[in-house]
Amino acid sequence: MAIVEVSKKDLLNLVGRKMPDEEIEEKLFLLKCEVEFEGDTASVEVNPDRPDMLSVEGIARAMRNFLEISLPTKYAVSDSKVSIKGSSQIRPFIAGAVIKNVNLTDELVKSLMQIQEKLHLSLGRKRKKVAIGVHDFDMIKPPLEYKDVEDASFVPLGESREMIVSQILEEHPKGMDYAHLLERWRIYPMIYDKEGVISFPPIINSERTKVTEKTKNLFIDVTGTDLRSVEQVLNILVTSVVERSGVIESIRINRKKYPNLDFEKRIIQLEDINELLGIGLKEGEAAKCFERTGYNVLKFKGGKLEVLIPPYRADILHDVDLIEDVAIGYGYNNIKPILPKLSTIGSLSKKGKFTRKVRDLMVGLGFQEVSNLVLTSKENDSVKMKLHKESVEILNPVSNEYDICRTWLLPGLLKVLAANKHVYYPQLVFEVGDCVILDEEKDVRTKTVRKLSGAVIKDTANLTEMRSMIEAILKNLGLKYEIKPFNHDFFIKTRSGDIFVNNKNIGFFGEINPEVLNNWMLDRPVIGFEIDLERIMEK
Amino acid sequence: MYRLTEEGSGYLRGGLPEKRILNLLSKGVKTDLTEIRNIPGANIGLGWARKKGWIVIEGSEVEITDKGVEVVLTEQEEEKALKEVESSGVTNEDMIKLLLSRKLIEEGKFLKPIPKEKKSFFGKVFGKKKETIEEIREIKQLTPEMIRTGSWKSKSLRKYDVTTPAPTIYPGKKQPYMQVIDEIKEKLIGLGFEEMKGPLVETNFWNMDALFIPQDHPARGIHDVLILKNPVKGMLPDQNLVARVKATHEGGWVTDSRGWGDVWDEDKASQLLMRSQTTPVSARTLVEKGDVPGKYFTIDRVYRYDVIDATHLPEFKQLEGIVVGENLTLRHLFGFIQELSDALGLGKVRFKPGYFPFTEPSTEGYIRHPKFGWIEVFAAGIFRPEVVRPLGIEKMTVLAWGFGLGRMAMIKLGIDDIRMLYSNDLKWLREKELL
Repeated sequence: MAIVEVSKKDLLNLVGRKMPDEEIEEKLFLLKCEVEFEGDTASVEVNPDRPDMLSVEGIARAMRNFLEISLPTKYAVSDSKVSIKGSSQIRPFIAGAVIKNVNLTDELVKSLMQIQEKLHLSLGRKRKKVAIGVHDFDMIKPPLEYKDVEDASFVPLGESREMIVSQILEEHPKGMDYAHLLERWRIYPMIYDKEGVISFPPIINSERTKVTEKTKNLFIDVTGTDLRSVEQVLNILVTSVVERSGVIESIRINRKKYPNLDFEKRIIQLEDINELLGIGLKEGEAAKCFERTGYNVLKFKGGKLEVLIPPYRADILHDVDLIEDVAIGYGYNNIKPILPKLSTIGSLSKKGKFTRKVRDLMVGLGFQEVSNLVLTSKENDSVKMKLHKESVEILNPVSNEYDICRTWLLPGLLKVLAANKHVYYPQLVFEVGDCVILDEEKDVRTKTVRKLSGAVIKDTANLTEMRSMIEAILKNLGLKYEIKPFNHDFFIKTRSGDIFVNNKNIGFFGEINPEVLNNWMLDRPVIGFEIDLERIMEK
Repeated sequence: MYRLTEEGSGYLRGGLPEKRILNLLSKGVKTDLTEIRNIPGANIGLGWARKKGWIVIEGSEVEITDKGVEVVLTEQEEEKALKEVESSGVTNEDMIKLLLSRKLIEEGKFLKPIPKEKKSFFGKVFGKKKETIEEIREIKQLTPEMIRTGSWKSKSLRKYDVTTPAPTIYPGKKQPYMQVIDEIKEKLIGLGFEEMKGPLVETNFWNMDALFIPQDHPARGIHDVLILKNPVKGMLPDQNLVARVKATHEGGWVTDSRGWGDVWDEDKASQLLMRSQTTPVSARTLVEKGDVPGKYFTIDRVYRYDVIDATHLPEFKQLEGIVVGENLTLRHLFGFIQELSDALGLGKVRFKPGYFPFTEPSTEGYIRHPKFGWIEVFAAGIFRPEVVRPLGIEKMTVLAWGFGLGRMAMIKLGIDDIRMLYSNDLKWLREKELL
């Protein structure tokens, strides 16, 4: 999601109609954008599928189509007679264009800067996939060459002295930001004119060809690692600029001519549109919907529509992308909801039903339910409990308090008790929740295990009382159980036991070891238990 | 109210000890002190008799005085008072003081003493002769014995002040966020949805690739998702499924799509992460259930790289559902979202065109909140052919929807910090009223 900041005045000027804020908001809403106003500035939220709307010109164009003020028109392209020869291993794809007689107003300059930045971030994948260079065409001395070199020396944009590649990468702000994209290479892509370097993609242009208030003609270069994305970015940029002013001229790159601003012809079946949308459109109506979302319709007859996809649309992968535009053209606010006739029986999953029973039992025994995150730390899950447990580890945790997945619930309960030392005793807490255990056998190398744990803290904590509770739970779940003494490091020696159901070890209970109490800064006895519900549930 | 102590009762029957001494001496016998001392109670008797001036003790000889002679046959005040206490529980104040000090009577709320002549008789017909027991005193506590014997009928229980505040107790309770979730589950089940489940740790394959999210999509990086350090790689599913997903990414396969054009890397797909959305559960469910109608939902944990603050946690819950059916359209999607909104009591939905990588057309559903205005709570769309076809769905259309659970729960619970949904504050948990 990108936020494009535009001047309301500028926008309405480009749209060609005066509109109150509410109407601007309503129309943009129906065009997939949310907008917020502050004074003259409108902040428009543009979705990733509409990079053509990353400029005020693109937004205005979409609004004009929607309001039936205008339809997309063909782009006239003449020949600049400029060519670029050569190639790069690092950024194999290059495209470009010339735009003559551009009226470089403040608004256009601002918009140009914003759209470059936003395209770099989105389609350009932070310049890795696509990088843009905009130059003053009159400062360029053709012929142009694109090649990889071991080093080069030129005055980069914003500097006054010549710098070589290593200096640029280490000292220039853009060099420092994007040097990592060239890390693995010993050669560097450069665009040369007769006099020297005009562009070092994806890093920086030359100072010599920079755009100033005096600039009348623009030269745009786009380089990258994906052909389609490079071409799309060029098209979006060029068509955005000429919404205001300018004449497009093509350049020749090796054997191709750029920009290619042909509209793609596409035939779509009315039947497919109606099957997906359910609004029962006739050809004529569907055609109107297309026009409102920027498609010229060449003809519509016999259940077919022939539409022209504008060259700045980067998101049409499948007919469904066109069909969504029909719905938008129709107006999402005009689509009447109907209920699907789909009779099904709802239910909780088996685990869900079992969990509910267990939770009801715990509440019935007087326990307060708590909810902890699955994310935790080794400190909490193992160390404080005097254990060394293996667990799922996160490579990029947001903090080291949340860098593993919990393998059991009891530490989380102790954490709750430790946070409530000034609250009335006794305290009884429980949790039923998922833990993650390593498991080589599973496709995701882990098992998500549902467990139950309960803890009681009080001055006269009583192991017998807990045993009664456990018995009550298991009996009410229809389970015969057996207790075998077993020492766990986190329990007091000889004051704990393991619980067996059908000869399976399903859990344990005991009195918490005072060393563990100290680790959690608890100063009262605690009894706890934990049961693996999956083991009880499996047949 | 008073009654005789055992000692008092004994003196009443056998006479005051000082009187007994007198009786001995009045027979004119000069008595040796040591001899008298052998008689039980003699010491007390000697003490009092001397105090009252009834005897003199010279050396080891005890002699009755003239006063003593006078008193021998007269009833003493003490004797009279003892009789009175026995029959009615009271006597004059001076005597009460004296008898108390001699420990011949004690205070208490007692049954009226049974008259001597009725005692043995009463013993035989205990409980039946009501008229012999007079109800005069109040009881604080009804006991099982009273209930069993019926003795409560002749008593009155003391007034209990019901307006006095009592100690606070906290019943066992479900956690507030869990209550919200339980309620929503009820509504969904009522609408015919079956609960589906999936693992918390996922492979990129299910979390991203099967959902047609391109492998170089920015949202797949370390600034968005939680990638695993251990374990690192998982297993990809069935070879044919993997091949179909690969072909779809690279060139659309048979879906009539352009695809993404990039080379699809199996290695990237097998990387493990904490699932960033619940949509992989939907994808797995579609494969499991097949190309047949159904409605499924899940409410479960997902993970993002989000620094913790009042509106962000790295772990939160999503509510997601799919409706699988024949000939489903965008109108049905809207209809279903409106039905869900009605079930949740959220009112009319305003639909905005939206964008999600795995649905097209897509929508965002807004509802009007009395305080916050129009807020976005639904995200929905029809699964793209590039998603469902490789998963084996050809006849059915799949509507998918998600609901902003955390936000709505916070509004419902009246909290403005997302961390409260997992609060450790036992005081708050105990005091929060039931939903």
